[in-house]
Amino acid sequence: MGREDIDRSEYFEQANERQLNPNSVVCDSSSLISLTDTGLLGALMMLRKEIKGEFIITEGVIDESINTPIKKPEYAFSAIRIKRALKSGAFRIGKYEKGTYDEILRITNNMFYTDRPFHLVNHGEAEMLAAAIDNGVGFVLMDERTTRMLIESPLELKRHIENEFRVRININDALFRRFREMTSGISVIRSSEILALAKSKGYFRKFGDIENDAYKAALYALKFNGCSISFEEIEELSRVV
Amino acid sequence: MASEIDKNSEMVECITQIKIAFKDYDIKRLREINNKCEKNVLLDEKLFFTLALLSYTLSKILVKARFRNASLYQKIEINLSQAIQFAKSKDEIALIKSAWKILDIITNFDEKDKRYIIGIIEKGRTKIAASLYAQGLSLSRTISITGAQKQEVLNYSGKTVMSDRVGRTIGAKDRFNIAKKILKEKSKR
Repeated sequence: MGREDIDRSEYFEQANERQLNPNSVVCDSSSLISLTDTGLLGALMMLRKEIKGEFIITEGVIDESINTPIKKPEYAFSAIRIKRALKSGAFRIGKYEKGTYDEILRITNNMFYTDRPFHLVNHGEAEMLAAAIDNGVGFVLMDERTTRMLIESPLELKRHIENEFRVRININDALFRRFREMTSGISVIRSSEILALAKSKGYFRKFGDIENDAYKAALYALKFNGCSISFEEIEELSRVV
Repeated sequence: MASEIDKNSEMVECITQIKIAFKDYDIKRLREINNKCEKNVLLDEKLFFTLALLSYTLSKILVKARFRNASLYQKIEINLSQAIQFAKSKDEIALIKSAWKILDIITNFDEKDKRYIIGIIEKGRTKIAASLYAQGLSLSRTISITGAQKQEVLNYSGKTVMSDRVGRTIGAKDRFNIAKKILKEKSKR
Protein backbone atom coordinates (compact mmCIF):
# COMPACT_ATOMS: atom_id res chain seq x y z
CA MET A 1 0.00 0.00 0.00
CA GLY A 2 1.29 3.45 -0.74
CA ARG A 3 0.41 7.08 -0.41
CA GLU A 4 -2.91 6.42 -2.13
CA ASP A 5 -4.07 4.47 0.96
CA ILE A 6 -5.52 7.59 2.40
CA ASP A 7 -7.56 9.70 0.06
CA ARG A 8 -5.98 13.00 0.93
CA SER A 9 -7.92 15.15 -1.50
CA GLU A 10 -10.91 15.64 0.79
CA TYR A 11 -8.66 16.63 3.67
CA PHE A 12 -6.54 18.94 1.57
CA GLU A 13 -9.60 20.70 0.25
CA GLN A 14 -10.59 21.63 3.77
CA ALA A 15 -6.99 22.44 4.69
CA ASN A 16 -6.88 25.79 3.00
CA GLU A 17 -10.49 26.77 3.36
CA ARG A 18 -10.10 28.56 6.66
CA GLN A 19 -7.26 29.96 8.65
CA LEU A 20 -5.99 27.96 11.54
CA ASN A 21 -6.52 29.11 15.08
CA PRO A 22 -3.11 30.01 16.59
CA ASN A 23 -3.96 27.82 19.56
CA SER A 24 -4.15 24.76 17.33
CA VAL A 25 -1.64 21.96 17.82
CA VAL A 26 0.55 20.44 15.11
CA CYS A 27 1.00 16.77 16.02
CA ASP A 28 4.13 14.74 15.39
CA SER A 29 3.94 11.03 14.69
CA SER A 30 6.03 10.28 17.83
CA SER A 31 3.16 11.44 20.06
CA LEU A 32 0.45 9.76 18.02
CA ILE A 33 2.38 6.51 18.19
CA SER A 34 2.93 6.78 21.98
CA LEU A 35 -0.74 7.57 22.60
CA THR A 36 -2.01 4.82 20.31
CA ASP A 37 0.36 2.13 21.55
CA THR A 38 -0.71 2.79 25.12
CA GLY A 39 -4.41 2.78 24.25
CA LEU A 40 -4.66 6.46 25.18
CA LEU A 41 -5.58 8.00 21.83
CA GLY A 42 -9.01 8.48 23.40
CA ALA A 43 -7.53 11.23 25.60
CA LEU A 44 -6.63 13.20 22.50
CA MET A 45 -10.03 12.54 20.95
CA MET A 46 -11.74 13.75 24.11
CA LEU A 47 -9.80 17.03 24.02
CA ARG A 48 -10.91 17.78 20.47
CA LYS A 49 -14.00 19.52 21.72
CA GLU A 50 -12.18 21.18 24.60
CA ILE A 51 -9.50 23.01 22.65
CA LYS A 52 -9.69 26.44 21.06
CA GLY A 53 -8.13 25.29 17.81
CA GLU A 54 -7.66 21.97 16.05
CA PHE A 55 -5.23 19.09 15.99
CA ILE A 56 -3.19 19.32 12.81
CA ILE A 57 -1.15 16.65 11.08
CA THR A 58 1.02 16.80 7.99
CA GLU A 59 1.28 14.46 5.03
CA GLY A 60 4.51 13.06 6.42
CA VAL A 61 2.86 12.21 9.71
CA ILE A 62 0.18 10.29 7.82
CA ASP A 63 2.93 8.32 6.11
CA GLU A 64 4.86 7.68 9.32
CA SER A 65 1.92 6.80 11.52
CA ILE A 66 -0.49 5.19 9.04
CA ASN A 67 0.77 4.33 5.56
CA THR A 68 4.13 2.84 6.53
CA PRO A 69 3.19 0.90 9.70
CA ILE A 70 -0.08 -0.39 8.25
CA LYS A 71 1.97 -2.65 5.95
CA LYS A 72 3.61 -4.42 8.90
CA PRO A 73 1.45 -6.84 10.84
CA GLU A 74 2.99 -5.89 14.20
CA TYR A 75 2.13 -2.21 13.79
CA ALA A 76 -0.97 -2.43 11.62
CA PHE A 77 -3.51 -2.21 14.42
CA SER A 78 -2.05 1.03 15.82
CA ALA A 79 -1.99 2.43 12.30
CA ILE A 80 -5.61 1.46 11.76
CA ARG A 81 -6.64 3.24 14.96
CA ILE A 82 -4.94 6.45 13.86
CA LYS A 83 -6.48 6.04 10.41
CA ARG A 84 -9.90 5.73 11.99
CA ALA A 85 -9.29 8.89 14.01
CA LEU A 86 -8.23 10.71 10.85
CA LYS A 87 -11.29 9.55 8.98
CA SER A 88 -13.53 10.63 11.83
CA GLY A 89 -12.24 14.17 11.38
CA ALA A 90 -10.06 14.27 14.48
CA PHE A 91 -7.24 15.93 12.58
CA ARG A 92 -7.00 18.59 9.98
CA ILE A 93 -4.20 18.32 7.46
CA GLY A 94 -1.73 21.18 7.66
CA LYS A 95 0.03 22.49 4.61
CA TYR A 96 3.30 24.34 4.49
CA GLU A 97 5.51 26.14 2.01
CA LYS A 98 8.34 24.13 0.57
CA GLY A 99 10.56 27.17 1.09
CA THR A 100 9.93 27.13 4.86
CA TYR A 101 10.58 23.39 5.02
CA ASP A 102 13.81 23.74 3.05
CA GLU A 103 14.94 26.63 5.23
CA ILE A 104 14.35 24.64 8.42
CA LEU A 105 16.32 21.71 7.06
CA ARG A 106 19.12 23.98 5.90
CA ILE A 107 19.32 25.79 9.23
CA THR A 108 19.02 22.83 11.57
CA ASN A 109 21.54 20.82 9.61
CA ASN A 110 24.11 23.58 9.36
CA MET A 111 23.86 25.60 12.56
CA PHE A 112 26.02 23.10 14.42
CA TYR A 113 29.20 21.92 12.76
CA THR A 114 32.44 20.14 13.44
CA ASP A 115 34.73 20.07 10.43
CA ARG A 116 31.54 19.44 8.50
CA PRO A 117 27.88 20.32 9.11
CA PHE A 118 26.22 18.28 11.80
CA HIS A 119 23.13 16.73 10.23
CA LEU A 120 20.68 16.75 13.11
CA VAL A 121 17.09 16.59 11.86
CA ASN A 122 15.26 15.07 8.95
CA HIS A 123 12.06 15.27 6.96
CA GLY A 124 9.56 14.46 9.72
CA GLU A 125 10.58 17.10 12.22
CA ALA A 126 11.22 19.78 9.58
CA GLU A 127 7.79 19.25 8.08
CA MET A 128 6.07 19.59 11.43
CA LEU A 129 7.88 22.83 12.27
CA ALA A 130 7.17 24.23 8.81
CA ALA A 131 3.46 23.50 9.24
CA ALA A 132 3.43 25.30 12.61
CA ILE A 133 5.36 28.32 11.32
CA ASP A 134 3.46 28.76 8.05
CA ASN A 135 0.07 28.46 9.70
CA GLY A 136 0.95 30.68 12.65
CA VAL A 137 0.26 27.82 15.06
CA GLY A 138 1.80 28.19 18.51
CA PHE A 139 1.86 24.58 19.72
CA VAL A 140 3.49 21.37 18.60
CA LEU A 141 2.76 18.00 20.15
CA MET A 142 5.95 15.99 20.12
CA ASP A 143 7.37 13.17 22.23
CA GLU A 144 10.67 13.23 20.37
CA ARG A 145 13.45 14.70 22.50
CA THR A 146 16.05 16.14 20.11
CA THR A 147 13.84 18.60 18.23
CA ARG A 148 12.19 19.66 21.49
CA MET A 149 15.62 20.44 22.96
CA LEU A 150 16.66 22.20 19.78
CA ILE A 151 13.70 24.56 20.22
CA GLU A 152 13.85 24.96 24.00
CA SER A 153 17.48 24.57 24.93
CA PRO A 154 19.78 24.28 21.91
CA LEU A 155 22.96 24.92 23.87
CA GLU A 156 22.17 22.07 26.25
CA LEU A 157 21.63 19.83 23.23
CA LYS A 158 24.97 20.97 21.82
CA ARG A 159 26.73 20.12 25.11
CA HIS A 160 25.02 16.75 25.19
CA ILE A 161 26.13 15.87 21.66
CA GLU A 162 29.66 17.03 22.42
CA ASN A 163 29.81 14.76 25.46
CA GLU A 164 28.30 11.79 23.69
CA PHE A 165 30.31 11.93 20.49
CA ARG A 166 33.40 13.45 22.10
CA VAL A 167 33.65 16.18 19.50
CA ARG A 168 33.79 19.92 19.71
CA ILE A 169 30.80 21.52 18.04
CA ASN A 170 30.85 25.04 16.68
CA ILE A 171 27.84 27.24 16.17
CA ASN A 172 26.96 29.22 13.07
CA ASP A 173 25.61 32.29 14.86
CA ALA A 174 23.54 33.63 11.99
CA LEU A 175 21.73 30.32 11.48
CA PHE A 176 21.36 29.82 15.21
CA ARG A 177 19.68 33.23 15.59
CA ARG A 178 17.46 32.59 12.57
CA PHE A 179 16.27 29.28 14.02
CA ARG A 180 15.53 30.93 17.39
CA GLU A 181 13.60 33.63 15.55
CA MET A 182 11.60 31.15 13.47
CA THR A 183 10.64 28.99 16.44
CA SER A 184 10.22 31.72 19.06
CA GLY A 185 6.43 31.52 18.96
CA ILE A 186 6.29 27.73 19.25
CA SER A 187 5.66 25.87 22.50
CA VAL A 188 6.23 22.14 22.75
CA ILE A 189 3.85 19.84 24.59
CA ARG A 190 4.09 16.07 24.87
CA SER A 191 1.59 13.24 25.05
CA SER A 192 2.05 13.42 28.84
CA GLU A 193 0.61 16.95 28.87
CA ILE A 194 -2.27 15.80 26.65
CA LEU A 195 -2.98 13.15 29.25
CA ALA A 196 -2.77 15.69 32.07
CA LEU A 197 -5.23 17.98 30.28
CA ALA A 198 -7.56 15.04 29.66
CA LYS A 199 -7.30 14.14 33.35
CA SER A 200 -8.29 17.69 34.28
CA LYS A 201 -11.34 17.22 32.06
CA GLY A 202 -12.37 13.99 33.72
CA TYR A 203 -10.90 11.41 31.34
CA PHE A 204 -9.91 9.12 34.22
CA ARG A 205 -13.13 9.45 36.24
CA LYS A 206 -14.25 6.09 34.87
CA PHE A 207 -11.62 4.53 37.16
CA GLY A 208 -13.48 5.72 40.25
CA ASP A 209 -11.45 5.71 43.44
CA ILE A 210 -8.32 4.61 41.60
CA GLU A 211 -8.51 7.55 39.21
CA ASN A 212 -5.20 9.05 40.33
CA ASP A 213 -3.41 5.71 40.23
CA ALA A 214 -4.70 5.10 36.71
CA TYR A 215 -3.52 8.53 35.61
CA LYS A 216 -0.04 8.03 37.03
CA ALA A 217 0.19 4.53 35.55
CA ALA A 218 -0.83 5.95 32.19
CA LEU A 219 1.95 8.55 32.41
CA TYR A 220 4.44 5.74 33.03
CA ALA A 221 3.02 3.80 30.11
CA LEU A 222 3.63 6.81 27.87
CA LYS A 223 7.21 7.09 29.11
CA PHE A 224 7.90 3.41 28.47
CA ASN A 225 6.48 3.77 24.98
CA GLY A 226 8.78 6.60 24.01
CA CYS A 227 7.49 9.88 25.44
CA SER A 228 10.56 11.82 26.53
CA ILE A 229 9.57 12.48 30.11
CA SER A 230 11.67 11.75 33.18
CA PHE A 231 10.56 9.84 36.29
CA GLU A 232 10.87 13.09 38.23
CA GLU A 233 8.59 14.92 35.79
CA ILE A 234 6.01 12.14 36.06
CA GLU A 235 5.96 12.56 39.83
CA GLU A 236 5.59 16.31 39.42
CA LEU A 237 2.90 16.04 36.75
CA SER A 238 0.91 13.55 38.79
CA ARG A 239 0.89 16.02 41.72
CA VAL A 240 -0.12 18.99 39.58
CA VAL A 241 -3.37 17.58 38.21
CA MET B 1 41.49 16.64 5.36
CA ALA B 2 42.02 15.41 8.87
CA SER B 3 38.57 13.83 9.00
CA GLU B 4 39.22 11.85 5.81
CA ILE B 5 42.38 10.42 7.35
CA ASP B 6 40.47 9.62 10.52
CA LYS B 7 37.68 7.97 8.59
CA ASN B 8 40.02 5.76 6.59
CA SER B 9 42.05 4.69 9.58
CA GLU B 10 38.88 4.15 11.61
CA MET B 11 37.33 1.89 8.98
CA VAL B 12 40.47 -0.24 8.77
CA GLU B 13 40.67 -0.35 12.56
CA CYS B 14 37.00 -1.29 13.02
CA ILE B 15 36.84 -4.07 10.42
CA THR B 16 40.19 -5.50 11.56
CA GLN B 17 39.03 -5.52 15.16
CA ILE B 18 35.75 -7.16 14.14
CA LYS B 19 37.69 -10.01 12.50
CA ILE B 20 40.02 -10.48 15.47
CA ALA B 21 37.15 -10.41 17.98
CA PHE B 22 35.11 -12.86 15.90
CA LYS B 23 38.03 -15.26 15.57
CA ASP B 24 38.62 -15.06 19.33
CA TYR B 25 34.90 -15.56 20.13
CA ASP B 26 35.18 -12.27 22.01
CA ILE B 27 31.58 -11.10 22.40
CA LYS B 28 32.43 -8.27 24.76
CA ARG B 29 34.95 -6.88 22.30
CA LEU B 30 32.44 -7.07 19.44
CA ARG B 31 30.02 -5.00 21.52
CA GLU B 32 32.73 -2.45 22.23
CA ILE B 33 33.44 -2.21 18.50
CA ASN B 34 29.72 -1.77 17.93
CA ASN B 35 29.76 1.24 20.28
CA LYS B 36 32.83 2.66 18.58
CA CYS B 37 31.17 2.32 15.15
CA GLU B 38 28.09 4.13 16.47
CA LYS B 39 30.25 7.06 17.55
CA ASN B 40 31.89 7.03 14.11
CA VAL B 41 28.56 7.45 12.35
CA LEU B 42 29.37 11.17 12.33
CA LEU B 43 32.31 10.43 10.03
CA ASP B 44 30.32 8.39 7.54
CA GLU B 45 26.85 7.25 8.43
CA LYS B 46 26.33 4.46 5.90
CA LEU B 47 29.75 2.92 6.38
CA PHE B 48 29.86 2.95 10.17
CA PHE B 49 26.20 2.01 10.57
CA THR B 50 26.90 -1.09 8.44
CA LEU B 51 29.96 -1.97 10.53
CA ALA B 52 27.98 -1.39 13.75
CA LEU B 53 25.25 -3.72 12.49
CA LEU B 54 27.81 -6.33 11.45
CA SER B 55 29.57 -6.34 14.83
CA TYR B 56 26.20 -6.47 16.64
CA THR B 57 24.98 -9.42 14.54
CA LEU B 58 28.25 -11.33 14.91
CA SER B 59 28.16 -10.83 18.69
CA LYS B 60 24.66 -12.32 18.71
CA ILE B 61 25.44 -15.39 16.63
CA LEU B 62 28.52 -16.18 18.73
CA VAL B 63 26.32 -16.77 21.76
CA LYS B 64 24.04 -19.20 19.92
CA ALA B 65 25.26 -22.79 19.92
CA ARG B 66 23.33 -23.71 16.79
CA PHE B 67 25.42 -21.27 14.76
CA ARG B 68 28.70 -22.89 15.81
CA ASN B 69 29.44 -24.35 12.45
CA ALA B 70 32.94 -24.60 10.98
CA SER B 71 31.81 -23.97 7.42
CA LEU B 72 29.81 -20.88 8.40
CA TYR B 73 32.65 -19.49 10.50
CA GLN B 74 35.11 -20.08 7.66
CA LYS B 75 32.92 -18.25 5.15
CA ILE B 76 32.55 -15.33 7.54
CA GLU B 77 36.28 -15.13 8.18
CA ILE B 78 37.14 -15.26 4.46
CA ASN B 79 34.76 -12.40 3.80
CA LEU B 80 36.06 -10.44 6.78
CA SER B 81 39.59 -10.79 5.37
CA GLN B 82 38.38 -9.49 2.02
CA ALA B 83 36.61 -6.62 3.77
CA ILE B 84 39.87 -5.66 5.51
CA GLN B 85 41.59 -5.52 2.13
CA PHE B 86 38.84 -3.26 0.77
CA ALA B 87 39.23 -1.01 3.81
CA LYS B 88 42.98 -0.85 3.36
CA SER B 89 42.54 0.12 -0.28
CA LYS B 90 40.04 2.79 0.86
CA ASP B 91 37.26 1.16 -1.16
CA GLU B 92 34.42 1.80 1.25
CA ILE B 93 31.70 0.81 -1.25
CA ALA B 94 33.23 -2.64 -1.61
CA LEU B 95 33.67 -2.80 2.16
CA ILE B 96 29.98 -2.06 2.74
CA LYS B 97 29.00 -4.66 0.12
CA SER B 98 31.26 -7.15 1.78
CA ALA B 99 29.70 -6.53 5.20
CA TRP B 100 26.22 -7.05 3.75
CA LYS B 101 27.42 -10.22 2.05
CA ILE B 102 28.42 -11.57 5.47
CA LEU B 103 25.01 -10.65 6.85
CA ASP B 104 23.42 -12.50 3.90
CA ILE B 105 25.59 -15.56 4.53
CA ILE B 106 24.41 -15.65 8.14
CA THR B 107 20.78 -15.06 7.16
CA ASN B 108 20.82 -17.88 4.63
CA PHE B 109 22.81 -20.30 6.76
CA ASP B 110 19.78 -22.25 7.81
CA GLU B 111 16.32 -21.89 6.32
CA LYS B 112 14.74 -22.73 9.68
CA ASP B 113 16.64 -19.94 11.41
CA LYS B 114 16.13 -17.34 8.72
CA ARG B 115 13.39 -15.49 10.60
CA TYR B 116 15.48 -15.54 13.74
CA ILE B 117 18.47 -13.91 12.03
CA ILE B 118 16.28 -11.37 10.26
CA GLY B 119 14.91 -10.59 13.72
CA ILE B 120 18.43 -10.10 15.07
CA ILE B 121 19.32 -7.75 12.24
CA GLU B 122 16.11 -5.77 12.75
CA LYS B 123 16.81 -5.57 16.47
CA GLY B 124 20.32 -4.39 15.63
CA ARG B 125 18.87 -1.58 13.52
CA THR B 126 16.57 -0.59 16.38
CA LYS B 127 19.30 -0.73 18.98
CA ILE B 128 21.70 1.37 16.90
CA ALA B 129 18.93 3.88 16.07
CA ALA B 130 17.96 4.18 19.74
CA SER B 131 21.58 4.68 20.67
CA LEU B 132 22.07 7.46 18.08
CA TYR B 133 18.81 9.07 19.23
CA ALA B 134 20.01 8.97 22.84
CA GLN B 135 23.24 10.59 21.73
CA GLY B 136 21.37 13.54 20.24
CA LEU B 137 20.34 12.86 16.65
CA SER B 138 16.67 13.39 15.91
CA LEU B 139 14.37 10.41 15.72
CA SER B 140 13.65 10.68 12.01
CA ARG B 141 17.35 11.21 11.30
CA THR B 142 18.23 7.96 13.08
CA ILE B 143 15.45 6.19 11.17
CA SER B 144 16.86 7.38 7.87
CA ILE B 145 20.36 6.18 8.79
CA THR B 146 19.38 2.76 10.12
CA GLY B 147 16.13 1.87 8.40
CA ALA B 148 14.65 0.96 11.80
CA GLN B 149 10.94 1.22 12.57
CA LYS B 150 9.97 4.42 14.39
CA GLN B 151 7.63 2.57 16.74
CA GLU B 152 10.36 0.12 17.70
CA VAL B 153 12.87 2.87 18.35
CA LEU B 154 10.40 4.82 20.49
CA ASN B 155 9.56 1.66 22.38
CA TYR B 156 13.19 0.71 22.92
CA SER B 157 14.18 4.25 23.96
CA GLY B 158 11.24 4.49 26.32
CA LYS B 159 12.58 1.57 28.31
CA THR B 160 15.94 3.26 28.82
CA VAL B 161 16.73 6.19 31.09
CA MET B 162 17.68 8.53 28.28
CA SER B 163 14.95 11.03 29.21
CA ASP B 164 16.16 11.00 32.80
CA ARG B 165 19.74 11.80 31.86
CA VAL B 166 19.10 14.82 29.69
CA GLY B 167 16.12 16.60 28.19
CA ARG B 168 14.46 18.35 31.07
CA THR B 169 14.25 21.89 29.79
CA ILE B 170 11.03 23.19 31.36
CA GLY B 171 9.51 22.02 34.63
CA ALA B 172 6.52 19.70 34.37
CA LYS B 173 4.24 22.19 36.10
CA ASP B 174 5.30 25.01 33.79
CA ARG B 175 4.83 22.86 30.72
CA PHE B 176 1.39 21.85 31.92
CA ASN B 177 0.50 25.53 32.36
CA ILE B 178 1.66 26.14 28.78
CA ALA B 179 -0.45 23.22 27.59
CA LYS B 180 -3.52 24.63 29.35
CA LYS B 181 -3.46 27.54 26.91
CA ILE B 182 -4.81 25.29 24.16
CA LEU B 183 -8.01 24.72 26.13
CA LYS B 184 -11.12 26.82 25.70
CA GLU B 185 -11.65 29.23 28.54
CA LYS B 186 -14.44 28.43 30.93
CA SER B 187 -17.46 30.64 30.33
CA LYS B 188 -17.88 33.25 33.04
CA ARG B 189 -21.24 33.55 34.72
